[in-house]
Amino acid sequence: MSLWAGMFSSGMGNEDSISFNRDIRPIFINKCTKCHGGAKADGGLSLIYREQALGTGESGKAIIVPGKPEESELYRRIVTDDLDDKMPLQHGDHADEPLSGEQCETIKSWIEQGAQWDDHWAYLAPVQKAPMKLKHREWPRNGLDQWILAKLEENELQPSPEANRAQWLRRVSFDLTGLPPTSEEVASFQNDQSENAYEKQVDRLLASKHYGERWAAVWMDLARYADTQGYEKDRTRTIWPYRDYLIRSFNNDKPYDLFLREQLAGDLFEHPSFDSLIATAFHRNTQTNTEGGTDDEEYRVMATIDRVNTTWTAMQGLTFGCIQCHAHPYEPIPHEDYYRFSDYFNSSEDADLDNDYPTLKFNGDPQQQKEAARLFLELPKLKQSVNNLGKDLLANDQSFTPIKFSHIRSSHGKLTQQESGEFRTSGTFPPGTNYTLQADADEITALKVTITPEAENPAELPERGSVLSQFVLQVKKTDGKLVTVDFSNVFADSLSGPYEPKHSLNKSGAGFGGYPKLFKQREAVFVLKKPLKFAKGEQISIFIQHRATTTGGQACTLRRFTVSTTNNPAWIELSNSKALATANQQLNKANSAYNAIKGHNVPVLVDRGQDARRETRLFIGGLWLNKGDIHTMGVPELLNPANMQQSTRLEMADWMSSPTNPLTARVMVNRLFAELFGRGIVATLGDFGSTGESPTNLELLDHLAVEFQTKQKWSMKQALKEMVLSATYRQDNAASIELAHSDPKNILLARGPRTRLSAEMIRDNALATSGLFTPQVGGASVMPPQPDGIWQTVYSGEKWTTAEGPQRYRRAIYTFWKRTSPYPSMLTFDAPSRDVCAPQRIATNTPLHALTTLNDPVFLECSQALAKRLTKHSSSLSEQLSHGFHLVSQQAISNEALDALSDLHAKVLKDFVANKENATSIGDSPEHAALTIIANTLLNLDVALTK
Amino acid sequence: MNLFQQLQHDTLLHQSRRQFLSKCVAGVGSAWLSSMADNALGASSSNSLDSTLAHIAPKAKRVIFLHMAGAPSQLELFDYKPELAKYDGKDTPEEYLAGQRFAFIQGVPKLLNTIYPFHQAGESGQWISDRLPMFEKVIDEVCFIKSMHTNQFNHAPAQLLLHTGNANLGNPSIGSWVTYGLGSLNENLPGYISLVSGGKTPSAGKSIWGSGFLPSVYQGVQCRSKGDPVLYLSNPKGVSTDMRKNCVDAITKINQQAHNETNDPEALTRISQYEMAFKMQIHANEAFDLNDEPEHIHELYGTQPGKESFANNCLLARRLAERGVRYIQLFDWGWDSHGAAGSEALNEGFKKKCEAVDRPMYALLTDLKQRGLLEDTLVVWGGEFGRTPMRENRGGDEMKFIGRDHNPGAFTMWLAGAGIKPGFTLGETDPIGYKATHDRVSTQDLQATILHSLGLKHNKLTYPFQGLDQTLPGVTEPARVVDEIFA
Repeated sequence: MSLWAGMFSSGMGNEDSISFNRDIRPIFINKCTKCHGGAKADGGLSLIYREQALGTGESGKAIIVPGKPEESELYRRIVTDDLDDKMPLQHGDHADEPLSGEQCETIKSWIEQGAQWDDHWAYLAPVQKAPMKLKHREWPRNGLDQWILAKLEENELQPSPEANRAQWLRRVSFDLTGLPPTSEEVASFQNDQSENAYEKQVDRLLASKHYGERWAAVWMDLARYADTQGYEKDRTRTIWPYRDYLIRSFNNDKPYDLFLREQLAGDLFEHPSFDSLIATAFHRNTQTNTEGGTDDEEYRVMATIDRVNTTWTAMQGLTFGCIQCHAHPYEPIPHEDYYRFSDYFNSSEDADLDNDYPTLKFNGDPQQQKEAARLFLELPKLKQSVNNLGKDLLANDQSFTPIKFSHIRSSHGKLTQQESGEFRTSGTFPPGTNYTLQADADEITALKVTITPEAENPAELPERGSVLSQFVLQVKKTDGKLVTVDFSNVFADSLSGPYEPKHSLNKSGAGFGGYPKLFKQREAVFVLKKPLKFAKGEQISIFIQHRATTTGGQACTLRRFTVSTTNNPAWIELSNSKALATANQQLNKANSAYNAIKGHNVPVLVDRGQDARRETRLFIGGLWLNKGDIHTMGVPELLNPANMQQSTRLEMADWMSSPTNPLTARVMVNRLFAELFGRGIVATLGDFGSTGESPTNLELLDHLAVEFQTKQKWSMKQALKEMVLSATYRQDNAASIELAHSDPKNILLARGPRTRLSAEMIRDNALATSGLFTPQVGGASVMPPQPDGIWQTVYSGEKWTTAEGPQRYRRAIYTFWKRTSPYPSMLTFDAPSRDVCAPQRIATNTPLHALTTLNDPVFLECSQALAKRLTKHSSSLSEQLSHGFHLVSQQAISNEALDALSDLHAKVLKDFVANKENATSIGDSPEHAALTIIANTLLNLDVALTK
Repeated sequence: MNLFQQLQHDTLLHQSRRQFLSKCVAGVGSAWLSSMADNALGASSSNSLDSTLAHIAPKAKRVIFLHMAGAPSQLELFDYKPELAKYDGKDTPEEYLAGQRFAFIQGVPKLLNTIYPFHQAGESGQWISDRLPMFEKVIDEVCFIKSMHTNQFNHAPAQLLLHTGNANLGNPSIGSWVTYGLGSLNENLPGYISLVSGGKTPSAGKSIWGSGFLPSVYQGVQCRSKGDPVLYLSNPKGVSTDMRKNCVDAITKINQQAHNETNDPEALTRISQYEMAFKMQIHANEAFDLNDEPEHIHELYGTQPGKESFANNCLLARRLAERGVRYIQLFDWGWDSHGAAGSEALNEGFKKKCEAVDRPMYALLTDLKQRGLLEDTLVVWGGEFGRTPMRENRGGDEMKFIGRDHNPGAFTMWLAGAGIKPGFTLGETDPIGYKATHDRVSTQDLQATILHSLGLKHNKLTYPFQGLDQTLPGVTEPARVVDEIFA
């Protein structure tokens, strides 16, 4: 590796002056910051922040004195011969090799030169540099090439010759659409003598409807897209409309900044469209744990944490997850920043409920869809307008007095009323528990129920849910008969969650309170139609029924509550007011209109109202039950030097997608580059921080990033176009022996990229080549053949139902993705399980690959179809073999390959003729069977699996 | 470079690549990785993988982990609590309930005495209930840890914590760490194999043998009792071994040409992988074929070839251990004895589960021993947590069947073989078996101990991910090697 380190460090600065980022930071990261960093600052020393490094440690000694190494404790400790004093430690668990003489000298010179401290490159905005002087000025076709060539010349290398047209077309077709070019496309391109022949091909591919499918697949790894909820039962979740949103967005070349804004905060746009609502399903791909007895709050918190980590990994390329537990060990990001950022996501309505609440109605018809989106946005507002009418009065009405009940009965456990009027409970309260409360009463116009958390310390909240499933008011006549009195309305102090206060009036489990968790004290008022007067001897009788449960049948009973009454006539006035009637009417109308629209319910991001926001507390040591101080929305200061206000999720999304963010554009162009060239300029696509790989060509990365933000206006198609039309990308991907030896990984790109097809492409290639391919774009996920017994999920009756007809041959992106049991061949070819955000696939090369493409019935079926295609093409064997080879590689077959395949065919045919039974298992006839084996062999060639 | 030199160099390159591949089976298996991959690992260049091989003398060469998915009751098997009899049927005192989170228990449950009689067995005199009469015969071979505890009280997260060191998804399982650190001993079989019985995959899904952030080559390969043991292992019907050989030869020829033209090392790797796949077809099919076992072995285990059973999986585990598979993970589903139905009641379903595992457990230890394999095979048995000394009262009422809820506070595991003290018991729980009190062992400690027995240091077996040198037990809670259980 030292060769490479040398290769990339040269030219990045003056050799004499020490660069902190190039020379010093790597030493600190490798040797010091494990103990003297953000997570741990032994002896009071952290080498993450300059001010601390220039200060004094716990020993009182000056750590670094600029200009004076001999007065710097840091220098003394690294060069000392006293093994008890030497750093890194020479004894114990953290013992490490001492610094080399050269490293000590470097540190010495650095301190002598003033101990200059630079921010890590990735935290400084990208700047486009003026290109340097190049020898082969005729070679570059665009800016990308200039910086590639600069690096090549620096390393005394020359670019490779241009690839033949078929090689380039194969590469660019897979890269842009994920599919191979057809024979006709190859021929037409080869015959196209026009000057812009390459550009025409690129434009054609970028305009293809399959372009969006190819790039959506890349984003789905980041979005941890799956068709199930995850964890134990792992039930189906209908979220494929989000996948189709991705395809549509890529196909329409939605600018990347808008693409991010929609996914992070599309619900908060001034006028959200269906697309901006469905885009927020990005963060509803988190897992829902429906295992019996799990704590919904625990998994709501996990989903929030996942949203924070995913946002940072996918969009910022930073390992933000580190600071869930402590300050970042290597980056100047404090612990609190994590919780400030998580506050953006902590007040969404979703709460790990089995039904994935809240969901948006999805209907394929554009007009109905538009209407559904409109109503979806309208409904919460209408509910608020109804509730607001009573909410203010509730807050201001001081006339409520708690009822002292003379008769108190609970079906289970023990219920007692205290002097203050408040009820407390003890014992066991199963889901069906009910309370009956009776007392003497005068005139009443409304009843108020106050539900109070049992915990006195707010840091211990939330607690188990507490839901008033049914609240019944009755008059106990003198003869003991109970006469039920209807309420006209229910108003609450705030609206949130899946249940509405008025649900307390019916027999469902839903109702007013806190569900699945109680976050704070709640109040609701139950209003009568007219004042209720009690005759002498009559009593008020209240019946409280509990039915709400969380997973595992845990009951959400009232454990601490008060019932009070008032005779304030204002409630009756409100109850009969025109304003209320109108508001209710509008709400009901909108409700029926929304319910009338048919469709799937797709989980999306919805925030709780301002009055129902959750507190965000720091988790001490990252432990969610160990809560510290409250933090409110904000982004790390490190990346917000202008200190712009980001006090809503939308403002955060604006900040993230703004050109002043130093990471957003770089991370994305690097990802596009890696998809095309097989390796990112920063090799660690998800880690641009101090511990990630250094950029191999920072000037190139910054050139691409700045172009992306400015000239290309965040157009991914334009960014890709520059890349695939570059001279760099057009090079032949064959390496000379020397080049293969000196740059085996093709880091400098002195030749064209040669990489294995992705998991998706391997399936799609077989389908396309065989002619079985169904080109349909979008729609519900499908189940192509998979071996029996793969799905054995606990407590789930869901079955893999193998698709028939054209649905059997859809692209890989549409294969139903079950998190606990992903499609086997996808996993084998390095697709991640999609449990969490995967910024990068790690390419492998194993025997299981061979077993899959040789023996998986899917590939056999493709081989049978390909064989038929070859027979149709010609009756001559050598024609068939040549054509087959061309179909899988777009190249002419060599004599050696033709001989090898002919020999194989002869042997196989002979075998099948001799063993007709075997032939029948494989094909219609011995001839078809033999050609099927040949087709399968073709699909297994290196040239067929590589682009 | 002249043509001759070029040819020589070419050959060398080819050979060294192959040599590397053959060597890799004994070391860090990075040759499985595509040549493009090592830079993508998140490693800074100096952070290479070679530091992962720790240098402790290994006691075990391989591990067989028998996971009873759903969590068997320690109070009905190994953790004898005579005190509990006194409290049977009485309300649980408040101090046991305050601040506890339960999966299903509500309010104030009643305590439940063990429902099966206990006795001391073997020369070591360890306590055991009457449910495992066969296993009892080899009780002197095993070491019990009665003070296991975890911090998760639901199945999926607790299983993840036990096997991946983290209750959340996305982390590699022990088997992945082990094969990453030590490679495989047999290039013709996957180095990490999981076998499932009981008709269901464990609650945590297939991620429980997943490779998390490690490259996918380290993921466990689920082998099945029905159909191909390894997915797509068999040739399609009608394709003979000879025909397959001819296909692979043709592929090799043409791929060699692709390499000659491009000098892409991946083309060479692919040639090797196709050859290995061909060998794996023969060896893996042979390894999974129980029909060639003699009758007395079938009697010993109670196996019936072709059936999905824990017994078959135990016999397979022995066959795989013999063939050098590094990490063999068994899951047996059906131990979640809540009492919500007969199938999961301590007085019904649990009895049947015990009957189904008793003989195979005994047979596996006996068979490993008689073949001299127990010396360097670590066998681990247990669930993801324990069960409560309280009787479950789902829905707040007494249930028809008898069951216990999840208890993260205490459970029993046993280990055997590979330098583990035989006939030894470590740790104690409180008088009612609710919490581990003495010599407490966390799931992370167990992981550190398993790695230790394989010669790996849990804090040195690292992989760079998300800016940290990740380890199996993680950094949140320090893990310790449980030295006391090694002889």
